[in-house]
Amino acid sequence: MECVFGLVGNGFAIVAADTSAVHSILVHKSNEDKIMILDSHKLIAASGEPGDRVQFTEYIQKNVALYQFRNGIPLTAVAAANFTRGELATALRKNPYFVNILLAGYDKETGPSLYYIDYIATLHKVEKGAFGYGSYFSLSMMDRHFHSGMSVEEAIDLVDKCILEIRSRLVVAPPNFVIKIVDKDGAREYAWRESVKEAVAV
Amino acid sequence: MARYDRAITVFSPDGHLFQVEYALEAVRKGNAAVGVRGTDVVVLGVEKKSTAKLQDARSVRKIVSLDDHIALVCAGLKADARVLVNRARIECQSHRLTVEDPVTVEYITRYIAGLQQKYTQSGGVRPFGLSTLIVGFDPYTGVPSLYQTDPSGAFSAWKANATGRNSNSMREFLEKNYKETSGQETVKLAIRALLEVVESGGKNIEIAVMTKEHGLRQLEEAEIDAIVAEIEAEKAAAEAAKKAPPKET
Repeated sequence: MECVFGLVGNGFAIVAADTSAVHSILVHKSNEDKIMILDSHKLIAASGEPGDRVQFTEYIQKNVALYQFRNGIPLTAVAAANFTRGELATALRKNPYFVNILLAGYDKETGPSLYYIDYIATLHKVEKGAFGYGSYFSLSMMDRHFHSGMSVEEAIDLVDKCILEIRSRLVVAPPNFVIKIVDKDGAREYAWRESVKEAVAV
Repeated sequence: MARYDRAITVFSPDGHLFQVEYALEAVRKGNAAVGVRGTDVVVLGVEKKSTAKLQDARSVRKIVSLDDHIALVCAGLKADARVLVNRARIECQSHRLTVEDPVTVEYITRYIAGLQQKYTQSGGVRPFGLSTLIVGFDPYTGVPSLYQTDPSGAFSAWKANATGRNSNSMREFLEKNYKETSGQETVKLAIRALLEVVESGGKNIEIAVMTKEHGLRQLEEAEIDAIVAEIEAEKAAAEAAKKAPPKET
């Protein structure tokens, strides 16, 4: 089951997502990147129906880019989150997208932020959030160890604690995770946590 | 409901589309714009008609980006330009979404030209009153290009071109003085062409340089003034050399 979680720290926001692409009992690949770099200072970690996940997040990404070209300035994180929610809401009672999203962003004026957007267009601004069965474990770990204004090292430590918990306690736990961070210097990949390396074709 | 099915752009007995030709007149009244293609840069320049004292100059941007690697300047009806640029920007993103590739300069030029042509063959609409100069780099080969479109919907690639007010004089100048240049030399050539028809000075000219690495960069007024000064100095030196009697026999 797909695990996505994230938290806000001191001047940064961090999100982690599992990297398995699963179809019924088959694992297609275990290095699928589910955290999209929306623009220079925003990340979208998405989980849910694989086709919808890619389609919807790419659609949001291109519309965010269009806004920037039209208006000369990038969208703020809160604006991007509301736009995303709006698109989900519009499609909801016609042709819903089954995608859950954690949108992490950094704005110069307001600092880091994290938005919880679920597939029925719920929008919450949060300090920590999670989706999937893994959320039972990661949210509990974060409730125990999270405090406002954590440093990157503390946050990564907490992320690793959550991953450990998911790996040991979730019955069909995904083996690999990717961690991405967004701060004043932009959105970028931070690390991978792999316990099963993707087999390389010989 | 009113019926918008009657065409406005129709042929004259001698084979002219007068509405398109009148649109070209509107272009000829628009501000002077020039584009020059170098080996590693493409430069766009446009004259800035003196802004009213109370107007915020920064809100009037004549050279616009369509995408990270494509820019456009136009001459003619500015409101029509806004509509066309908007459609082009949407197409740039739409192309990226459907084929996961940025547009080539030729593709987006063909799209804009196609749009301009559509409005010469549709009911109830008039042609767009503008010509555009489109520059950019091919996203994969890195080759720079310059294209021009006009109200008829025709387009073609150019090494250097001008449109708008006094475009003929600028084009003549470019034909006489064009050679393969790169970097700053290309910028100078574009400014020299504009100076043929525009009052000299940084506040009357807007210049933007596009490179493969850094995308579009608008030059500051001070930078333009500096280059204009260089050009004037070179001109003065050339004049002096011509007037001075030859020393060697």
